Amino acid sequence: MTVHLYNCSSASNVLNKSYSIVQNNITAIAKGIVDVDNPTLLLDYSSLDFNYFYISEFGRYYNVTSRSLEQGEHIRVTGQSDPLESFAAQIGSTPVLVTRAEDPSLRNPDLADNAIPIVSDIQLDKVIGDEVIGSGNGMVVIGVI
Amino acid sequence: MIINKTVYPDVGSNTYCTWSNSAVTYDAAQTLEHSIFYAGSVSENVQFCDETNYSYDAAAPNCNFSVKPKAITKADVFFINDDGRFFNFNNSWEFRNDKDYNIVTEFDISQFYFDLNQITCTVHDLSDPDGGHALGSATTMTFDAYRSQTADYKKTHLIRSLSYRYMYGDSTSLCKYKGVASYYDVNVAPMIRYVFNDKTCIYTPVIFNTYGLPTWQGPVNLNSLTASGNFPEQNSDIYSLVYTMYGKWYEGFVSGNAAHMVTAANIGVVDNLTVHAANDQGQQVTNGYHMPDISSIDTDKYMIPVFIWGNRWDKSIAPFFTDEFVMRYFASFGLRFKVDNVMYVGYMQQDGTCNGDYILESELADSDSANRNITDFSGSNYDANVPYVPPSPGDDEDNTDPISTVAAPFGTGLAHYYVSTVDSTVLSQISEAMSTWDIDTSKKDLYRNLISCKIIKPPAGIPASPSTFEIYGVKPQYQGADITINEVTGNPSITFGSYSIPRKFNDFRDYAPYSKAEIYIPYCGWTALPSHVIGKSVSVEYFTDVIAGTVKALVYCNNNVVAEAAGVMAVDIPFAAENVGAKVAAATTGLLSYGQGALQASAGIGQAVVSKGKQGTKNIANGLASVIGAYNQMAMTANENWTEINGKSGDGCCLSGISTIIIKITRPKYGNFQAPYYVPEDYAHTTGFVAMKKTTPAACTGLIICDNVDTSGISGATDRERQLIKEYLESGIIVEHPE
Repeated sequence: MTVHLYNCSSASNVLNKSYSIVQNNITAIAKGIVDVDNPTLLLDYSSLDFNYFYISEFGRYYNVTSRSLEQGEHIRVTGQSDPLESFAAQIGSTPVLVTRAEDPSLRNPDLADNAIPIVSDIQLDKVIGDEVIGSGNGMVVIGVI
Repeated sequence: MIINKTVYPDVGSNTYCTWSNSAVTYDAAQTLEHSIFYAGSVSENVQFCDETNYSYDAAAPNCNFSVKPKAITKADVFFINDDGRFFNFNNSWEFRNDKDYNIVTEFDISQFYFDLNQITCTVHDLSDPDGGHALGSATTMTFDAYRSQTADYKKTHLIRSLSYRYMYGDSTSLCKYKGVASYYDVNVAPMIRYVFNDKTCIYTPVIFNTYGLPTWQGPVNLNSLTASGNFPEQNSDIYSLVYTMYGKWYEGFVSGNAAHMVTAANIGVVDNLTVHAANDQGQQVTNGYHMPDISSIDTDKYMIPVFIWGNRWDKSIAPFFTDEFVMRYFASFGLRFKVDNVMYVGYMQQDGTCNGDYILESELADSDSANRNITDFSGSNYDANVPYVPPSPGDDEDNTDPISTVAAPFGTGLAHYYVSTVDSTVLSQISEAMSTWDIDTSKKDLYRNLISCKIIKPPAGIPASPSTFEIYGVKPQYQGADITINEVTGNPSITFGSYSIPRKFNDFRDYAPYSKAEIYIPYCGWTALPSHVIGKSVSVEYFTDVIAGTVKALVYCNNNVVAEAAGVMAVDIPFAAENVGAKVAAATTGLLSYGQGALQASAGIGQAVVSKGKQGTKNIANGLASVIGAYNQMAMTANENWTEINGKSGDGCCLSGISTIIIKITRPKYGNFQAPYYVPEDYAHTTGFVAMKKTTPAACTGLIICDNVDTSGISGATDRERQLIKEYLESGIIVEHPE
C-alpha cells in the first residue's frame, strides 16, 4: 500500500482541512485484515511527525489514532477514517438546510435565537415628538341650536 | 461645461504624471477667474474601465470623441494646486504625489455636463445601446457659448451626471468604474474635499456664478453661502434633499449608513436651502463647513464630498464609484419630495446604486432598499452603525391588507358648532353676548340657544368652514359688531406628526417579547404599541368630537391602524342655572324700560309721520333714545354676571399635562455585547447565527449546523461513513476554503 503522511492542523469537524505534507508515497505493510474504516499499517517510516495520512488504495484520509515504533525503524499506525475529507467535494455540493451559520450573510435576524443570552435588565429609549399641543390659548367651541 | 468627478490620483510612491497644455483657448476677458472649463480631447493614460465604458455614436452631432472613448481627456480634469486652488487652465501643470508636493492627494467632485445655453444640449442615455454619447465637441463647448450667455439667461441644465474613476501611473490597472447617469434639471454645487499630506483637509464648494458657471470660491462657511440669480426655477414640490453614503475601505458595502438631509426651510426658495457637510462619521454638520480630524483615519473612513444646493431635483443622482482594491463608496442622492401630500425618497439598490426610482417614504424602512435604515429624516438622529438588515417576510405582511379608517362626517341635527381661537377680543365679545339679553327675537339669542361651550387646545386648528356667527351685543361698544367665527361642519381629524421608532438589535430582539413599545398621546395617556412597529414609522391622527369634547387618537403604521386611544380633549365652560334666572330677573327691568322706550319711539315715529315736521323728527329721536337707554340698562344689569361664564381649564386642555407624543421603547440591555450583532464574543464561530437557509456547504464559510441531512447522494461512502458525515453536519462543521 502507498500512504501519504501529513500533519493536519484542522479540527476533526473541518471540511477542507489544512494539512502539510510530511512524506509522500510511504510503503505500508498490511498486518492481517485491514479495516478500511480503522486500518492498522506498518509503515516504512521511522518518525512520529505526522498525525494524518491518506491511503491511495482506499482513497480515504485518516486521522491517526495510535502510533507505535516497531523494530527495524518501522511505525505501526492505526487510523480512523475521516469521511469529511475523503468525500469533501461531494459533501460540499450536498444540499443542506443550514440551521446555524457563522457567516452573517446567512443570518436570519428575525428568527428567534434562543442561544443568545438576553440580559434581564432593560434599557429605555424614547422618541419625543416635536409637535406640541397648540401653543396658543386653544380654541373655543360653541354649540348653538 | 464639464466638471469632472472622482479624481483619485493615487499615484504610486515616487511617481508623478505630467500633462501638457491643451489646444483649447479661451478668452480670459470673458472668463471668470478660476472657472472650470471643458477643453479638448487629449488622450492620456487614464482609462475608463470596460464596465461602464460608454460608446460613441458617430452619427450623433456634437460628439466630442472620434473613437470609443477608452481614454479620458486630460482636459476633462481640472487641478488644484497646493493652496487648494485650481490651476489656471492655460498653463501646463503636473501632479505629483504627496511625497513630492504638499498638494492634494485626493479630491472628489461630481462630473456634470452642463449646457449653459441649450445649444449643444444632448441628453445622454446610458441605457441607450450606444451607451450615451459624449457631450458636444470641444468646439461647441468652448466659450463662444459662454460669451453669448447673458445675465438674463439663468437656466442651467444639468444634462448628465456620470460617475467614474480613474487612476494614474502604476495604479491604472487597479481601477474599476461604475457610473450612472440621469437627466436633471437642477442646480448642483459639488463640494470638494481636499486632503493634504499632513492629513488636514478642507471642504470647498463650487459655487455657481451669476452665469450659471461653477466657480472657485475657496473655503467658505457654508452657511454663509447665498444663492445668486442663477437658480431659476422654483418648485414647491421640493421638500428636502437627502443623500446617503455608505463608505468602507476594503471591506466593501454594508458597513452602515449615514443619512443626511438638506431641508428647504422655506420650500421652493433656493436661498433658504441649507447647506450641509458631514463629519467623519457621516453625520450632518449644520453649522459651518467641516474640518474633520482625519489623523486617525487609516483604513476606515467616510468621505462626504458633496453638498447639494439646488432647487429642483427631478431624479435621484447616484454617483458611486468602486475600486476593489482601494475603497468603495456607495452613495445615493435624491430628493425627498412630496406629491399629493405623499412623501417619496430615493431608492438605493443593494449594490449601492440608484436607478432613479423612488419609494414611499413610509415604506422605506420596510423595503429592501439599501438605505432602508433611514427612518429618521431629522438629519441627526440616525444610527450610522446600524448594519444593513435584509428584509424579512414579516415586514411586508402588514401592507397586504391595511385597516383603513373612514371618518364619516357626523350629523349634528339642529345644532351648529362654531370654533374660534381663544382671542381676548373675541372672547370678550362672546362673553358679553352670552351674558346679554336680546329681546329682539329676530336675532340670535345666544344665551337661550347655547347648548355647549368648551375650550379645546388641539394640536392644530380644528378644520372649520368660514361662517358668520351672528351675535348681536347690545352694549354700545358691540352694537352692530358681529362676531365672525367658523362653523365646524365635519368630523375634524388632525394629524399629529410622524415618528420613527428605531431598532437597536436589528433582529428578533427588537420585537416582543424582548422589546415593547408604548406611546403617550396627549389627552389619551399611555397605550401599548405592537412591537412590530419598531423600526418603522408611526403617525398619530386625532379625531375630535366637538359635541362631546372627546378625542380618539389612531396610531398608524404603514397605513394600518395599530393602536388607538381615547380621551377628553375639551373642558366645558360651566353655566350655572341661577345665572340664567338672575339674567332673566335682571332683564325684566330692562324689558320694562325697553317697552316704554319702544312705545315712546312708536309714538314719536307716528307723530313724525303725521306731522312730517321738525317736531316729528324730535319725537323719533326721543323714542330711539329711550330704546337705547333700555338696552343699556338691560345690558348693564345682565352684564353683572358675565364673569360667571368662565371655565377652569383642566388636564383635558393639556394645560398641565404632557403636550407631546412620547414613544417609549423598552429593550433588553446590551450587556457587554458589542455592535453590530450584540452577541457574546465569538458567538458566530462557536454557536452560529440562526440561518434556516437551504444551501450547500461549499457555499458557506465557517461554522454551519445543518438539519436532517440527506447523505444518500454521497457515492463511494460506506453506511458508517455516511452516518458519520450526517452526524458531523448536524452537530456542526467548519467549512474552510484553503487556497
